[in-house]
Amino acid sequence: MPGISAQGLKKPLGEDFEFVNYLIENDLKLDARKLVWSPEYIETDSLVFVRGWVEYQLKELERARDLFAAVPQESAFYPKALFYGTAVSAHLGDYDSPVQRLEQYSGPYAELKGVQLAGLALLRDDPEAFRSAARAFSYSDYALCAAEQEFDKIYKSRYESRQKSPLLAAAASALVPGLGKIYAGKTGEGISSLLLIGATGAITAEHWIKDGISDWKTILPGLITAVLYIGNIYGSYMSVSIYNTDLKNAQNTAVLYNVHIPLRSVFK
Amino acid sequence: MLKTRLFCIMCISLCALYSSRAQDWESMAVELERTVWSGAGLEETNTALIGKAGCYFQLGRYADASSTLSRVRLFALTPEERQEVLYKQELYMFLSGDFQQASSLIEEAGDETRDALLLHSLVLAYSGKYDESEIYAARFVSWDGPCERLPELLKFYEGHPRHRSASTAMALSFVPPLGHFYNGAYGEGLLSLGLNGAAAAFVVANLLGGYWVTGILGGGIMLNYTFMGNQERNAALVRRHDANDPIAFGDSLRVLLSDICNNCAND
Repeated sequence: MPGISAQGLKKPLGEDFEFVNYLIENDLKLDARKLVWSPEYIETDSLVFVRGWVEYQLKELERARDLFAAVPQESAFYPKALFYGTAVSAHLGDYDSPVQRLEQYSGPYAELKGVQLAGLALLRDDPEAFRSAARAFSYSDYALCAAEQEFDKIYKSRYESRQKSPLLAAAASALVPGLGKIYAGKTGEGISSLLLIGATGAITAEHWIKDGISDWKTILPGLITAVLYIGNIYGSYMSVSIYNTDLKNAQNTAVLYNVHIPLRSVFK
Repeated sequence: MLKTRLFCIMCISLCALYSSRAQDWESMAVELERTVWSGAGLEETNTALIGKAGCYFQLGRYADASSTLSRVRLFALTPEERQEVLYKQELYMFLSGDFQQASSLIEEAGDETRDALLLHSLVLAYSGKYDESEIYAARFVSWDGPCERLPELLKFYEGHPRHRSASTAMALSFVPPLGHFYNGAYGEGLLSLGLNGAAAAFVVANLLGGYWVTGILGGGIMLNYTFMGNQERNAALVRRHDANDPIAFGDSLRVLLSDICNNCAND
């Protein structure tokens, strides 16, 4: 018979819902987990959501995602589970499955749905999907406005502005050692490369003038200078590649943040 | 008994964590928190919090136990109860590795029991406050009267690690091996001396040979790595010593006090 355990009568979570919230708000999340996983409660959709919520608070994202996904559409907690589940999935690197669930959603949080779909599109590197999702942006909801503006900024920077070219950096360093690093945003490294290669070049020149080109005292610093010069060209190429990767990672972090943070204001 | 309380606490708690009773401690902690949440009176609230801290202690969650005790309303306790709570809080902080915070409670926790003296001496030793620790340790071993191993304990304290000053290390590191010697890294100091000497010799030899550019620029590059690297290394050694020495000293003190206790028990 439902609602009856081997030990006796089970109770609904409703009685302890406020207590669970109190535990979470007071950073007693392990206590909250102990409570909500207690076998004394009747298994309901609310209980599944609250368990997911506690796991989410404990940053157990995989468990939270699975529990949020198990909340049925009929549940009063479905919207919250859907949008938090999307944010959690995005943090776990799963960008595809939440898109399907979001697209099926047709409730009152249409703009939030657009924001999350736009964020997922940026994470999937899909500009077409972003443009489609961004049609839902109104820029007037205080809870979502900052995220919408941030997504637009990232979209423009990623797809409408020219990115730094590793080949241009290599060419700049071939022309003036260190210039490619300065182009990559590493001014200190660029100047120090210029000074180092300049110094070894000057040492080579001094020995060339005094000892001749075939003397080992010229050849040795000359070789060192050549290795440093070529290494600097390669280093500049890599610096710009790393810069581009870092920029994309930073943008993705900003997207994840903005997929997540508005939820706190929307579902107060 | 004393040893059991302070030296085997971790083992006991780990056992508790994996025992079948561990689940009960967790449930009990939740139920005690429910008492607090339900708006119980001051006395009941304090009793619940102290009980809850005890549950966390049994579970090996010392930081949680300590933070639970920090919620106890001390003004509602008698002086004796207050001391007991603060002693427990100090113990939990010590077990969670928060030595500096634990040492801030010593004065209020009192020193009227032998357990408290032992705890204070360990907390202060792990915090690097060796002189204060020595006083409590000496009182601890002399609790039942004069202890014949007291001189051994005092001698042990004489060899406590010296606090190393970052500014002294920095000043000494301008003369290459001295900074390393100050940090007790003699082999590394000699290596640093060799490298800096070689760089200086390179400069002098080139200048004497008329290779001004090579001497100044090449020597500058070499010294930049050997000389400046020497200073950075010394600063890192000071930080490492200051972080590790009190822990190593505290571990040795724990073993020594345990040994002295055993001795006393056998006597």
